[in-house]
Order: sequence, then C-alpha cells, then structure tokens
Amino acid sequence: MDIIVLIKQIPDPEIPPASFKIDPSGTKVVPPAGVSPVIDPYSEHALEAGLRLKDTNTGSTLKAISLGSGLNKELLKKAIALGADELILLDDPAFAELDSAAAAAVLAAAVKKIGKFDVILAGRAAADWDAGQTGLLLAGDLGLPSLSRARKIEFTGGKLRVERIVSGGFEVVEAAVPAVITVSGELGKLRLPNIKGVLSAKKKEPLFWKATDLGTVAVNRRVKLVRLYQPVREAKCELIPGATPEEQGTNLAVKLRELKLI
Amino acid sequence: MPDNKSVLIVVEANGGTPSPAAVELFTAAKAITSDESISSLVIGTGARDAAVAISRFGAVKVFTAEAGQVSSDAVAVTVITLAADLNPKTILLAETDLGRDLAPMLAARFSTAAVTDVIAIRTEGSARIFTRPVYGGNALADFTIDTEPQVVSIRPKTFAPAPENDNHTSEIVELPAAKPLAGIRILERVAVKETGPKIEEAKIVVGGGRGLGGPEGFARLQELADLLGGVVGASRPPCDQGWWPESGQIGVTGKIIAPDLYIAVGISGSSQHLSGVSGSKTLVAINKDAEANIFKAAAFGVTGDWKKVVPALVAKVKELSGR
Repeated sequence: MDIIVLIKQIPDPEIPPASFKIDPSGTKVVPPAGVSPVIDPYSEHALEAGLRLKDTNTGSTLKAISLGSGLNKELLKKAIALGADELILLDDPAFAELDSAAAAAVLAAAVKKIGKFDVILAGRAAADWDAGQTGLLLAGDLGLPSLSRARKIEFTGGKLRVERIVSGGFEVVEAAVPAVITVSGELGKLRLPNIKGVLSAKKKEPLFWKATDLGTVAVNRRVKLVRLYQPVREAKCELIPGATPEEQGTNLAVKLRELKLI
Repeated sequence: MPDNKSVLIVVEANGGTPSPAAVELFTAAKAITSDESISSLVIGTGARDAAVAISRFGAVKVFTAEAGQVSSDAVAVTVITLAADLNPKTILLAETDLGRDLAPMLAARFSTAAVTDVIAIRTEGSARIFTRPVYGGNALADFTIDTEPQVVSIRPKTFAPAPENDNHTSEIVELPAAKPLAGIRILERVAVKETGPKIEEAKIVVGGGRGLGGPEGFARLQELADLLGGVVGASRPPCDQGWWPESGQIGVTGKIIAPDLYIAVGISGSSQHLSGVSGSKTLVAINKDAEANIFKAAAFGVTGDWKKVVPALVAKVKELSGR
C-alpha cells in the first residue's frame, strides 16, 4: 500500500514554563535560545503507525510530508532514517503561521501532486497549537472518509481495520481506501533508527516544494489571531503550618474539615 | 444577513438525557447572543426526550434527530443539512469525542473555520472573540473567525450549566434519523470498564506526580482517595513511566477535571497540567520543593515530604471521621 504521513515541526513542548516567552507584538512565541525544534509527539505516533503498516504490507511505500517555513531538514530526515522512502518538505515563507484550514489546503495540493496513495496518517493534534483539526480538514478538502484517534491500524483484504479511542472504550471500524486517519498516543512510541537507516538518511535528500510548485493554492487565514498572552496565576497559596511534615499533614486534615471540603 | 446573531447549539443525547457538557453550551451562547437567537439540534439516542429537557434552557426551536449509533460523519450530515437551512452565524459544539470530530468536518464542508477547545467567549464591538489555551497551556490565544458559520467547540466545565426555566418551552421539530455514510462501517464498540467513578466527574481528586518516585506511591494516594470518596489520577510523567494508566492522566493532553477539591501530590505543575485542573474549586498542593510551579495555582500548600505528610493526613482524616 502507499502511505503518506504528515509530520509537523514544532518548538519543544517540554521546555520549562519559565522559558516560555511571547513576542511583544502579542502574536508570536519567542523560540528559547539553545532549544532546538522537535517533531511533534503526535506526528511521531502517526509515523510509527505508517511504519507498522509498511512492515506488514510487502511492497508498500511511505512518503513523509512536512509543512512550514524554514524547516529543519536534519531533524525531519529522521523519517528517512526510520524507513520513509521519500521526505517532502513544503517549505516557503508563504507557509509561515498558517491556520488549520490553510495548512490543510496546502497539504491537499501536495497530496494531489503526489497522486497515488491509500492512506494519509496524521497526529490527532499537534502539541503547539493543539487545535486537532488539520487531518480532518484535509479529509474534508479531499472528499475522503476520515477516522480519528486510532490506536491500532491494519490493512487486510484491501480494507482498513482501525481501532479508535472513544469515551469509555474503543470502536472497531472498517473503512475503504483511500482514507485519512488521525493517530492517538495509545498507538505506541516511535521506534529508534538503526545504523542502516541513519546511513541512508545521510545519503538521501528531501524534495523541496515551494508554493509555486503546488499551483494555485489559497493560503488565506480564516481564523485571525488577535492576541497571544500568558495566563495570570495568582500566587495566593496559604501554607499549612507545622513543625514537622507529620504535623503539617494533620493540620491539613483539620483545615479541610473546617472548610467542609472533606 | 448583516445583523445575523443566531447560534445553533448541537446537543448530544444519551438515552433520553442531554449530555452535561451540552447544557453548558447554553451559557456560552447567552454570553454572545439573546435567547431568541438560539436554536438547538439534539442528536443521539432518545433525542426527543432529551429535547424536552433541553427546551428549559432557552432555545426558540429545538430540532431532534434520532441516531442509534452516533457516528461523527452521520451527525455531520444532519448538522450540515440543518445549518444550510438555518444559516447560523455560529455553531456551538462541546469539545467531546463527537465535537472534536465535528468541528473540522463542518468547517471543511462550509469552507469556513473552527476554533476548538474554547474556554471563554466575548463580544468586542461586532467581533466575537474566542479564547483557547495553546502551547500546552503555556499561553492563551484570542481568535476571531472571519467566515460564517463560525464553528466553535467549548471545553466542558468551563461554563456553568445554564439555569433551567420550567416555564420556557421550545418548538420541537423532528428531523429524519441520522444515517452513517458509506465508506466507513462500525464493526464493534468495546466498553473498557473503568474502575470506580470517572475522574472527570469526581468531586474529589487526588493526583500523583513524578515526585512519588514510583508506582508504589499510588497505593498510598488510593488509600487517601478511598477515605475521601474520591478518585486517583496522575500527571503526565507517571503515565509515561507506566506507574499509572494513561486513562487516568490529568491535563490538557489527558482528562480535564473540575472537582470541588483537588489534592496534587508530588506534582511540580507543568502548564499543561495546570491548564487541565484550572476548574478545580480548591487546589491543595503537597510538594517538598517550595519553588514548585504548583504553588502558584494552589489555594493551600504543604511544603514537605509526601511520604510523611500523606500518612499523617490519612490518620487525621480517619480520626475526624471516626473511622
């Protein structure tokens, strides 16, 4: 089968809150000095899903696509090191700070340029803007069925069999190809590259596609970011007194009882 | 329609009852428009009974569509058909499994845009401004949507349930049952039994973090939670380490909670965790690091070793409750 995986480059979400700064313009995050971007953790789950499908379906191809402006080629080549046949970087200043709808429109144009595919995999959200929309918007733009929050994906008898996380359990769903699937964290962690993979990633260069390579594609923002700011948390914590931790624990119980919380 | 202020609220029905998150959507709608401009679609099992219940919250018209097995694509078709007739300026959904799927589906179909996981709505002049947490709760973002219908999903428990008005009745209109689309077939639904009450609905939650040092600590927290009639959860690191099941993860990337009392033990307080517990009425932090971020959000704090604090707390609670 022919597999496309969307991988997003984001600022490292694990930085300490104290290092998180917003530009005075109030619309941009200032990248912390010395902290490199990472592949979005949800995208990593999607990539793992794609690699497992490739493992179990002989003769499959896997193409990874990333979208942005000033992408980090070396970071994203991890997809090749892990077994992607092709890495396509949609890299253009026009692709900076797109909203979900515009990102989906650009990705749809790239998918059409690729042409042949059976399944498109994306993370269920990305850990920067957390919108959780791009994969499903792309399905809508391409007129394809979509399945969200997959924890297991199999391809048998020409059909996809997907386990989706739903509230209180999971759902087993069968779908025809082509389809778009968004992948949940429960699918499992991304594997580590082996030496052979690392060497092949050294040799193989990604394809770079610019806006002009994609024909006419609308990149208008429909959602306008008015302001980005940090939530104010009031530091009004009342410390529970006590000479020892045991005494503090006892006093806490008394306090909670006084307040009728327990 | 230049003065279009109408809002369509999509309500999930489960066995004749509207979902609690859906009732909160009426409060969100009233923040931006008047009662006369609100209509609602009730969809799911026992939609008609749920519609009667929902009519007390203020919609002028309530449309109902029965859907035995709610699949998001079938619901999307019903919403799309109805919205094409009603021409709402805004469609409000709850940020649940269904709403999360519907928001982008509707946005794509109407060539418009959605803002998901919204925690505040306000009107400035003629603009409606939607606020949501981004960057794992490190920041808040205010958005406007330039196209219509504006599709907005609201994070559960950020708005209070709308007040009921027993004298208010809505016109109830039945729509044809929602049918799933071709191409996708649900073969099976498997319920995974969660032990005890759901963490999202618990009145008292005890959360454990990296500071517990291992899975053993959770047994102590369970003892405390059982004593208080509460539920145990965890921040992200213990779930990543396999100390606690992922289904009990609290935070933006896990479960959003809003209990009366939240006791955070050995949790340093990452933004994504704090954002997920911001609805807690009283937050108590137990952490030996006095500089931990969690104390910025806590109403009460104990700076000490949880291994000594928690047993003393448990003993005193037992004594006070006469057990």
